[in-house]
Amino acid sequence: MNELRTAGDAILEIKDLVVSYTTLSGKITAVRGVNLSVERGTTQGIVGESGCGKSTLAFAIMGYLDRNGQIESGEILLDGENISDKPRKWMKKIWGKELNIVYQDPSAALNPSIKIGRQIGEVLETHGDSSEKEARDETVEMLRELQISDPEIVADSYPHQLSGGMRQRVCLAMALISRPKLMIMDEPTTNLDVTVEAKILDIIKDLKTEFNTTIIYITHDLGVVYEVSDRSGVMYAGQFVEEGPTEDLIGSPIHPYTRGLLRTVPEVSTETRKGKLQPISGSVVELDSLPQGCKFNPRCPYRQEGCTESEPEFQVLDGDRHVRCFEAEEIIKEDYERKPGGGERMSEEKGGGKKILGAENAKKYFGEAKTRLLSREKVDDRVRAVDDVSFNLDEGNTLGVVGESGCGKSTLARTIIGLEEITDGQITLEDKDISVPIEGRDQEVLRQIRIVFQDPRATLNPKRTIKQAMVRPIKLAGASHNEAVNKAEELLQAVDLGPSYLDRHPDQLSGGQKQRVAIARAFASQPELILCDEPTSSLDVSIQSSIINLLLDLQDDLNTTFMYISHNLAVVSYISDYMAVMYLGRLVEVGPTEDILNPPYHPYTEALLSSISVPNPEVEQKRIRLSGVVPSARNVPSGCRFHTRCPRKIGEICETEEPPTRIAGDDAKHSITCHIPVEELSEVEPVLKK
Amino acid sequence: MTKFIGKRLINMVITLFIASIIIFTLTEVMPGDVAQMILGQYATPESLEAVRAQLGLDKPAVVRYGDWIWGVLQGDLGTSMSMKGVSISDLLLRRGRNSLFLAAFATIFLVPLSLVVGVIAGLREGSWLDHFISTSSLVALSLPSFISGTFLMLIFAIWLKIVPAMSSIAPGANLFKVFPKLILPIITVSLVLLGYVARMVRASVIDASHSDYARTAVLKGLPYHKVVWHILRNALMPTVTVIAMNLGWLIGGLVIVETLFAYPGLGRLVYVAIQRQDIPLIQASVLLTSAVYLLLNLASDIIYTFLDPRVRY
Ligand SMILES: Nc1ncnc2c1ncn2[C@@H]1O[C@H](COP(=O)(O)OP(=O)(O)O)[C@@H](O)[C@H]1O
Ligand code: SF4
Ligand code: SF4
Ligand SMILES: [Mg+2]
Repeated sequence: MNELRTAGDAILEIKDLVVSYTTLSGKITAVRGVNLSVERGTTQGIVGESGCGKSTLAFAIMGYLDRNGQIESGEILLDGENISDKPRKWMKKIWGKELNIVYQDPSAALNPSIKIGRQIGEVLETHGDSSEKEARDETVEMLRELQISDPEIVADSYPHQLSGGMRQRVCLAMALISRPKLMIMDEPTTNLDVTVEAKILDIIKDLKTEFNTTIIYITHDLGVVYEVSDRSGVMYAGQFVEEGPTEDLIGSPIHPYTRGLLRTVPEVSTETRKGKLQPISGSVVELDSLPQGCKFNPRCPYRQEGCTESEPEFQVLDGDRHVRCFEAEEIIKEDYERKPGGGERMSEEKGGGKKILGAENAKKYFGEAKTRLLSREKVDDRVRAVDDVSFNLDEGNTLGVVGESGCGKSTLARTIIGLEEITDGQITLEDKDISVPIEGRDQEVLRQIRIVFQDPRATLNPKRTIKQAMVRPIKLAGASHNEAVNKAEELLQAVDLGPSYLDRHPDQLSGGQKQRVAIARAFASQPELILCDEPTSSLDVSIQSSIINLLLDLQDDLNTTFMYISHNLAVVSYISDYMAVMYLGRLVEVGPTEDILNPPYHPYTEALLSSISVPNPEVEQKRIRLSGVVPSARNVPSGCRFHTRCPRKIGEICETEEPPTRIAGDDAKHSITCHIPVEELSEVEPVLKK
Repeated sequence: MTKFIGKRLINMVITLFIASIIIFTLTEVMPGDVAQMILGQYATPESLEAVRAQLGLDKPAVVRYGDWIWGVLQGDLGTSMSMKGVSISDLLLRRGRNSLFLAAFATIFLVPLSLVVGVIAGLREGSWLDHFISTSSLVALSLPSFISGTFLMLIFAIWLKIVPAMSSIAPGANLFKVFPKLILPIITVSLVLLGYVARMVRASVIDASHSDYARTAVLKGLPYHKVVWHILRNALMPTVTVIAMNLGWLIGGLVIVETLFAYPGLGRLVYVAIQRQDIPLIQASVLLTSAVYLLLNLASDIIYTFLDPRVRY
């Protein structure tokens, strides 16, 4: 192991670390021999799918594993001192002072009933000899450094009064205030909107230069790791399989798993998709039933005979890179092709143009307008979740809807399917008016539109078997019981689940399997239209890609029409023929996907595109950051709703007059709602350039 | 906040009004005839009529309800039927004072003890102390008062003879002077709640100490007492409501305990009133109980809003 790289000025060194958990069914080794050396003042990225041991590693470094966890062997050297066997009492002195952690969910990480200022200030009072007053001043100063515009007010707020992005900045401030030697961040931006994530990543990048902090950044998102880290490691089954300078790792990955991960995620590109996504075959190994030999061998396309017999060592390649693979020398010779495009996915020209779904001035307001008792003043503070939305969607096409959270995407889908009663306007299905809530719709309409939610638990009743869940909607299409069972089996086959799954209950399935069942169930009634609301957002990337492929295949076979909602622009742009960009209840830009991804852009679209993290060194990206968050739909800004945040605002007209909707370019299907003339919008540089 | 309290008070009045109707209706359909009760089995039909007329029982129900409520609003609860001519207001006041005394001491005994016990068990989750506390609170909570009361009486009054077995006291006696007589009723009436609240507290302390924010507090390097403070801030909030709600339950417990120990409180009064079908007395005491219960509820909500920054009216 000695030949492994040691950073010149290593602040953290991990040597052969093994961590296990004791469970009812025995001992599980979650970290199986990790070696890592992190140089002072750098950011070390750690990537991997869920369950590969990222967080266990993080908490092992912190010296705060779950109660049933223990370090079996190995050393963790912080500034040369082994901290892996120190007692609590000793660790207490460095926690919060030299060694800090920020984790995923900022709303859970902050104490809901203590003011922000207090929560940050007490760190200083505990570790230094600051008085309450000094701590308070420093806290406000720190919040200001993290670009919080009203630090005094924030310091006096409770966590629930802040937005998610703001809370995560507070957590960063809390971790930074004592100028720690080492900061661990465990998926700190995972549940945030891309616009907010982009700004937090900017801050994190600045930390390095400003505070000379060393950061370990853990994420499942290759784009993010590419954005922030100097070096990165990819974890699989409790070990690093590849580690090296981020540029090299992302630009020319060596390990088959790293390559697989990079190929499996869709990438926003200005061209329309060429091939299918390439899911990594199989699923992440279970730690209690690891295969013989290389742990990745059951899923590895490069597998050789020897791979199933012994485990490869972590070896140095190319001077500065580490890879755990027998075939590394061979693979490195082979040119790495980013998107090998496994066959044409479908004919580019689509369906005969039969209109399936139509929305005309559709509105969904929550609450009621009131008249004040005393002043007789009318107050209309209804939540305008969907406010005047019109579009058409043709058979066999996919309309992708993007926008930050709170823009009304889900409400739009819920209104179309009738879970929310439409306030005004019309929804049509094959030119039939269906603007009534779900209770008022006839069986035929119920059969024609189905929905897939982010959380499959929302659709699958835990008490019913998969068979029961599947058979009901099939009967809706008029099948007998026996036919329905056969059909259910067929559908499960289509989503790669064998007939043995029919008799299982939802809680016997993994998250990805549940979502497959939910999709099979959505197709069960042979619907014309399927609404997908963030169907893959909580799944690992390799599962995400197989689900996306599955949706596309089913669409090919059955000519189903999709409306696909996601905050993930890469996924939406990959899957959709048309895209709609939604902001505060309105569609600000609608058009064919290729037109949306190229100028002219609506200023909001442009900002969204420049906020995403693209894991590709060949792509150059323009940097635009939006200030603030989406305003409340209860009180929408006058004129153009986007004017409070628009980086291209042209003057008063944006605040006073509603912008016109104009046809953009030669395609009559592409429209932009903005005061800036289309010619001018066309003049901007593309956000993404190769 | 004042608006919220105002709203809740109005709600309370409405609830009380509805309660009064229900109470009246229930006593109305109760089996048995008051005149018969008063005059005994061999009364002549004429004398029964006369008594009914004297009591106003011959009037239609709506009129009688109106009379009753009108009286209540003016603070006149009428006179007891079974205890001839005794003013119900006086009776309730006297007995109420006794019950209040008992309830107050039970609360003073119960609340801090259950909090301390629950918090200790919660913070030491899994230790032998926790097991001991959890098990004994489960026992306390599942034993009905009349059983635990009987046991306590047997052990402490009859065998060990450290406290008196019966708690009958003369009207107007100084309750502090006869305090030993109150010890057993206080413990008995508290026992069930003690077990219940302690378990609640334990559960929410455990919940809070497994939370992300508790972990944050530890990993900030805060000293133990500050970490505990972070935990308790949140863990004790739901408990406040539970305690206040259950103090309402205490009222129900009083009926049993007062009867068992022959303690002259409101609970025993209700028991006696029902036994003797003393309708005006039943009505008045049940109405009073409802009012107390609603007030406790309101108090718990108000305290909760002060504690939890997320709830603001
Ligand atoms: N049932 C509801 N009652 C009140 N407001 C709601 C309801 N559902 C959604 N909203 C509000 O509507 C707006 C849009 O929400 P949503 O449709 O969830 O957006 P997105 O899908 O983009 O996250 C938000 O301001 C949200 O708070
Ligand atoms: S060692 Fe073999 S199985 Fe493992 S990653 Fe390399 S080629 Fe694949
Ligand atoms: S109308 Fe004005 S504020 Fe709105 S997007 Fe266009 S330039 Fe920006
Ligand atoms: Mg949503």
